[in-house]
Amino acid sequence: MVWNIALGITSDEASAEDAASEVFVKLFKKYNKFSGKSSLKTWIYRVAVNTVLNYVKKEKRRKTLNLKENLTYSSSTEKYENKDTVERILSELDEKNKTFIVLREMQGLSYKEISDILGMKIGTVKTNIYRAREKMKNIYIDKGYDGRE
Amino acid sequence: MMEENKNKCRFDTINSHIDGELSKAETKAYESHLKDCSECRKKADTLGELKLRFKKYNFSNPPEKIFRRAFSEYSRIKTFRRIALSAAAVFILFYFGFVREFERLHLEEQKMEYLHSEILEVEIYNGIEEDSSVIDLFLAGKF
Repeated sequence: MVWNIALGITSDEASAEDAASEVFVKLFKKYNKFSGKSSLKTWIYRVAVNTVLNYVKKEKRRKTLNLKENLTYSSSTEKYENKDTVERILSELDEKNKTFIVLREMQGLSYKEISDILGMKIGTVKTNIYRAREKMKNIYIDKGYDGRE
Repeated sequence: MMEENKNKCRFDTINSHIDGELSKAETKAYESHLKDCSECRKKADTLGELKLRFKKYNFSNPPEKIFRRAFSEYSRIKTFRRIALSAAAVFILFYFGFVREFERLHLEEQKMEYLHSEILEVEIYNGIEEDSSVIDLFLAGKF
């Protein structure tokens, strides 16, 4: 769960490793403070998402995280494997959209669960997910990842 | 009819359809709309395809060293916290055991000095009283 969030949002294994270990340290440290107001799953997701997003922000400030440059694109006419396509689309989304896509489409969480994790109203979560999907669709078509050039 | 179609072309309707949140009747109506509206059909197809792709995506396994790394980092923080707490305890003990004692002794000394000066004043007063009247004392500025 933690690894998937870290890898999905950072789109880079080395960064995901750093971010995920930061998440675990926070979970160890904060476990005594877990009040049980939300479910353990929601709490872990909340800590993971916040820590990974902070990690990305911190790394961007230090300019060591340049994910798009790390990826080597092959010709757009090539038919991408599913894993490749998903990773390419994710790497082109910003962190906010990535977070919504990872939680909803990859982790399969409900709108209610996402609203609890992010502390947002369900309506706001839905709007953000719809927008993220729209962006994802545009990248998919514009970059020719759908193979319908 | 136009208004009804407009509602069906809304992007939240497409998304609700993709998420399977429409009722049976709504789904049936929406599917018949998709047959007539090529734009919505294209959008729904692409979004559905993407949803499936993301659902099928398999994350690579997390490297085992993450847990070891996180645990050793946590232990390091805990050790540091323990050292900081011990240092704070030593400081508190030192403060209350030594500094406060020093302050108490200093206060005692001040008290003694004050008492001593009071006694001296009384002695001077008594000494003078033997030889002078109260008016003389007043004039001498002893009151």
